[in-house]
Amino acid sequence: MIFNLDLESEVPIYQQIVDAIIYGIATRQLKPGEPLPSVRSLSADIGINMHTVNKAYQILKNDGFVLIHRQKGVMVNTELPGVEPSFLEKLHADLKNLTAEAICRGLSREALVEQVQKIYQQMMDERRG
Amino acid sequence: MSSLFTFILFLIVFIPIALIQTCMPILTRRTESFGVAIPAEQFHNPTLKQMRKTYATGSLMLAIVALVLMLLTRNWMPAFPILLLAYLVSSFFVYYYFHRKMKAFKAEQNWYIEKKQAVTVDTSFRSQKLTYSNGWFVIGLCLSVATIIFSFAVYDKIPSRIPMKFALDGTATRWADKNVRTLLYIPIIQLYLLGLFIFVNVMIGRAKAVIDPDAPEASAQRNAIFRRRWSAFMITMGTLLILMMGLTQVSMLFNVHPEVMGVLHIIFVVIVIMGTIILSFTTGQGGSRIKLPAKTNATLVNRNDDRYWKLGVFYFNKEDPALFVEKRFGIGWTNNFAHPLSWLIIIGFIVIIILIGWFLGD
Repeated sequence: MIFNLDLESEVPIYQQIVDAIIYGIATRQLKPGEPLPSVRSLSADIGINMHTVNKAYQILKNDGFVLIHRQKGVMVNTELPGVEPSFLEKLHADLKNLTAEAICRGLSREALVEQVQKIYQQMMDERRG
Repeated sequence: MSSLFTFILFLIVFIPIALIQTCMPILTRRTESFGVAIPAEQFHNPTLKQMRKTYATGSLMLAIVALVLMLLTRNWMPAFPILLLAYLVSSFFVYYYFHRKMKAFKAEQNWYIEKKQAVTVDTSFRSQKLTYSNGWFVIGLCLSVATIIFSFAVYDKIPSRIPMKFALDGTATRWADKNVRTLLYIPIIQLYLLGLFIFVNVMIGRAKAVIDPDAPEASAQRNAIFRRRWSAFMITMGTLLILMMGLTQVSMLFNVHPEVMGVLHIIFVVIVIMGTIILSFTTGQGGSRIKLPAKTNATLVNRNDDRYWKLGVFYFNKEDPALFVEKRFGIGWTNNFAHPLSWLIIIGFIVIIILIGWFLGD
């Protein structure tokens, strides 16, 4: 999978890596069991500290998206995590913040729901084709 | 005869170097201009085109001056390396003049205002084949082992004095007594070079993968082809060089007519140089000259990372764990000089060659 990072962005780089890889798994651009670059080569290709990439991989590992083998290296987990209570908590918190801002800015409930549906549909379409 | 030979060799070496130097601006990546990062589509900017033309004219004139000077000197041998070096140094200054000019021009432009700078990653880049196996170097290893075995198998038949140093045309300028050390001279250098070529092949595989976000798929593909071609070239040239040195050893031991070796050396140099030129012009730096259909992504632009490139040629980035990166104004790779291991590797190779010289010297 090819993804882009913005090193000047306010979003931390490790978060951008986590987001990109989860997006890749969601859209099946990254298949279960597919190998991912090692911490060393990924950080060298991006040109950032190895701790940053390591942090991203640790988060992905703790959430169950990747496996880190000592010998085989990093790969996409063959068994993806389910809807766990911790995820629901995170989903709730993130949606709450976004909904609050949407209400402040006067976005209607329908428009907000439509956005979510559109994004969901786009990712499912990418997954098929 | 000997000096005419030197002159011919000078032409064979100098003309291709001057050609590559003169054409360098069109051999680099499209995201670079005189060591300055640019958005790929600006490569066709009329001002940049004009700069490339002026640079090529200047570089060509410099080459003509060097050629005329070479013709005017009677003493071709010391003039050869001196003029070659002088040409390379002065052509760096020509480059640097245009590097400054390019930087000043870029500062006046608004290339990075509408576009977002990005670093592009291809997670599967390193799962593909980037270099040919180091196993190929077994051929070179066998050749140098064969050189050693052969030299000692015929030890008794070798004349008691063997030539050690040669002029470019193959005539001996220094002789040494036959002993184990003088017979090991060439094989040890063969093994050192073998190690060097293996190192380069590993480096080609590990070097930083820079992908242009403007056309990521094509860029990644070009980069992989670029690496594979150079890897194949390094393996072939390395093996050929070791074969050449083995033949030199055999010819030394049996006093083969020096002109035979002289002609063989010239053929070898011509192969290396022609190969380099063909590879440079068909592939370009980072594969930039390989034609591939590209989907362009007009909203993203390669990162403006000029601050890490001192004089536009020396990469110096403390944050970057990469050891090897593609050259900006040139073909091939260079070190991240902010990485301590870079210096350790360079010093390591120098120390080994000094140790070999010390061991083999008198």
